[in-house]
Amino acid sequence: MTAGQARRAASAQAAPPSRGAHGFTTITVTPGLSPAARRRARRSGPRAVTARADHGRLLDTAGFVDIEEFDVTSAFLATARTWIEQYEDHTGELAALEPAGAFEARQRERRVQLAAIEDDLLRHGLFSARVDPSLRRPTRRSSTVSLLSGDGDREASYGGRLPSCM
Amino acid sequence: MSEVAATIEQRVIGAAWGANGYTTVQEVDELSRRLELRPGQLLLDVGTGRGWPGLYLAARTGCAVVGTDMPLDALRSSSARASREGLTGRAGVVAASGGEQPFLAESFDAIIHTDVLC
Repeated sequence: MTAGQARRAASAQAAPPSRGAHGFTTITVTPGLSPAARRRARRSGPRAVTARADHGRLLDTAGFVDIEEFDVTSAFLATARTWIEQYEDHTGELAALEPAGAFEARQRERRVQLAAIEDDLLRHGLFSARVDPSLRRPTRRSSTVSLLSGDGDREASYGGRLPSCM
Repeated sequence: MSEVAATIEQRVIGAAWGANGYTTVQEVDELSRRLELRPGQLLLDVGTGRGWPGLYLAARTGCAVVGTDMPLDALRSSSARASREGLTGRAGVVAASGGEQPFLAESFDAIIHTDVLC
């Protein structure tokens, strides 16, 4: 056992287990689309929406439990519309902050995405899950964050003060 | 963040914390409830950008947060916002890509990311 491993083991014994809670939102392609509609959805959405991912199944495969998924597409539609409207209302101020044509190009992209949402090609989901409690083990307290160094054996701990590593 | 950008963000998602995506304050509050964030908890915000939603959650729940992302300007903005909000000591940033988080396993009580996988 290395010195680093011994320190981690000693620290782990003193600390309660981390809770392993995971929550996220993401945009996905609506399931069950025709090939043509799926292609349009992928062209219209964010870059990584092209990934064929059933996030609920991925979480399950990764060992998460208490997986919950909520469709928040109605709010997504409203938010997408409001971004476009607000940017339109402030075109003069915002376009001046970007290279020529960039603001207009992004507004066009937003409208394409909005049309895809309106046609039910894109959805927004909210997910939550937890690491299986039977798989969790005692670990360090949340007052420190340990960073991995290149060799994985040494660590830099910032006890009591969080890192600003840039 | 410019005043006009803050105004727009407030109207779109309900708060001005440097967001440019589609996750609203109400949705982040729901995630916070499900993650059971509270003082003493340590949250990892992957893809935090200028600090959304990690700084908002730290301010609102009392948890501590480490935000990670790649653009250094955004991370500097996040650090500055943390200072203005009185979150120094409870909020930090680390430059890291989403797929290469440089932390030991089980370092955090909860992990959050909004519109990062897409």
